[in-house]
Amino acid sequence: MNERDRFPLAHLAPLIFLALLLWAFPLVYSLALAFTDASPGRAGAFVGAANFARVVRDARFFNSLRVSVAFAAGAVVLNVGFGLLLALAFRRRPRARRTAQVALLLPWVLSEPAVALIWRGLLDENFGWFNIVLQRLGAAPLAWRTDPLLALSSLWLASLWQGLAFSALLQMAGLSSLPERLVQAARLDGAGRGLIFRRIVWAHQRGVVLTNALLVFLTAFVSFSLPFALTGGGPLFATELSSLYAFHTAFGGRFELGYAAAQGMVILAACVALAIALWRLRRRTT
Amino acid sequence: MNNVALQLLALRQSFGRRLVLAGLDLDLREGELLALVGPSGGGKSTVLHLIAGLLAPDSGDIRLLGRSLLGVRPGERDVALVFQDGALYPHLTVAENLAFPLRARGKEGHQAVRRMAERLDLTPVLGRYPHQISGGERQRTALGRALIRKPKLFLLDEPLSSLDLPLRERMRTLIRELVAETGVTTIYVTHDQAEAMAVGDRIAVLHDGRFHQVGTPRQIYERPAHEFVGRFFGQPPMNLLRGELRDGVVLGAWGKLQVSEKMPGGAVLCGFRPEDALVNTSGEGLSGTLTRLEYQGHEVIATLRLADAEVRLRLANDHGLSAGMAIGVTVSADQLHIFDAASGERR
Repeated sequence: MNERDRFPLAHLAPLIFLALLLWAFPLVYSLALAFTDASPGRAGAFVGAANFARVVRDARFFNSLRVSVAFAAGAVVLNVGFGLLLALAFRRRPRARRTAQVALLLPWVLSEPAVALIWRGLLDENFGWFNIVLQRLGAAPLAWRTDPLLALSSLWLASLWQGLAFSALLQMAGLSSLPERLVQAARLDGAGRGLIFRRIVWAHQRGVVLTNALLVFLTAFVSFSLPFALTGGGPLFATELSSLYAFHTAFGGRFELGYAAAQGMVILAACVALAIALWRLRRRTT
Repeated sequence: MNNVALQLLALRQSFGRRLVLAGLDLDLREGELLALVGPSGGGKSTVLHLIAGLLAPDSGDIRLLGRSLLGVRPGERDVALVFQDGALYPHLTVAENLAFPLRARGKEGHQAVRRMAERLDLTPVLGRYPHQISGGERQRTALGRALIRKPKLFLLDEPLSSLDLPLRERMRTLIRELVAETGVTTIYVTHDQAEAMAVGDRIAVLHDGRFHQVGTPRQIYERPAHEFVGRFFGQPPMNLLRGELRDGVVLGAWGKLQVSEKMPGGAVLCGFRPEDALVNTSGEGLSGTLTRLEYQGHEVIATLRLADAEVRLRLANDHGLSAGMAIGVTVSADQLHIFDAASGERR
């Protein structure tokens, strides 16, 4: 390392230290834990691949994976879909767009548990605003906490309310780089709105949409605070994401750190595989 | 032939509080190529956008072949517009770009695309994308895309600004050829006066929201109707001296010049072109100091400092002249252009 490298490296040192402390170390430690039968307060003994073998036969784990995928997929459809719609709607209205952006960002700055509490209140089966409005309109109240599909929907709604800002801002930024010239040229050429969208807007926006989808999926897949505080995994594991199950395994009564770590490793592997697949898809279509 | 293809009637347009077009009137004949010139930001593009339907005028009418275009959607006006940067669809190939206007109307157009590509020397690049071809090829594709559906009106918004000089000449010739071949009525917008003179059957000069003059290049150059028109055409530009006209003579601190026709006195701008002046070393006429001599090869551009003004002259050569000399300049009365100092109009 010569004289010239030392200066920038010295500046990077704190960041490298933090990265090692908060990312690399826990990652390696978790990997190590996965091969033991550790418990809080009791360093575990090496058990080989027993934890992993157990994961593969754990029905509850596979349910949690299913829930995570369902939640993430729904989040993608809702967030990316509405994000794109908002971007298109405000494409030529800069002032209205800014107002919308501020309105979207307000829920974004709340913490996930706070969002969860708000929505628990809104969707309370007896006193929640939603059900009261429904009853006033003469409809039957919805069983947000006790119906499995509705419970998952409540997660989608809450995460959409909070997270739409991200997708909308990303799509708006992407769309703003589409030169108005092109749309004008297409209108002159006689293209209708549908053709303009299909051959010009979509071609431009495709990359952003896929990147958006990838980011939303991964974030939702490993989401913890919101589902934990909103539904706690209920009713009957219908909203138990893999992050919740791993948490439960580690701290929810069984205190099996080693097994939880093994679950975490499998989730990580699944995420990495998915990210690679989506990334390849993006590269192939743009 | 020779019937009116396009009419602009009292066209007015403001952007916010800025009045960009103050009531334009124009008649374009079928098959005519009109060069629309003016300073940058003067509203030339606005005129094209109004005709194309991308903007709606505040008031006034636009009539194509007798039919008003107000309220008609851009795609249905049968008007084609070539933008300054071509505005090619980046995700479509050259062939797909050319075919787009036809496909948008439900037509296949393979034949038309092939023929257009051949005419424009684009056959080798039909399968390439806009970012993979040269600037000239991009502009030719833009031209092809505009003309492929045989529009009734062909609008070009500074189509050659982004090209380098030699390429510009070739493209100019190509555009003139295409217009002549198809006989399409054309408006060619440019801020380059030399280009306007080279290209247009007629020239319309847009300044301060109005057409100061609409005429043939010869009329524009030899008899400018406004001091702006006089200044705008010709390189170096027309020399304009401010003075008082009295009894057939224009007087100023710079000297005096005799006028040919009888006209009422008053504050005027007296103009003469750099090539219309005669230089002498005896100090006759307007006298001053030669401050600069620019050798251009085929001619020399001289700058002469008068009492309170500077004038530029075009000389065949600089024999016997050097910077710092005292020289005189004479201009015959029929080479002078007199404009009213207040309104700018020709007297």
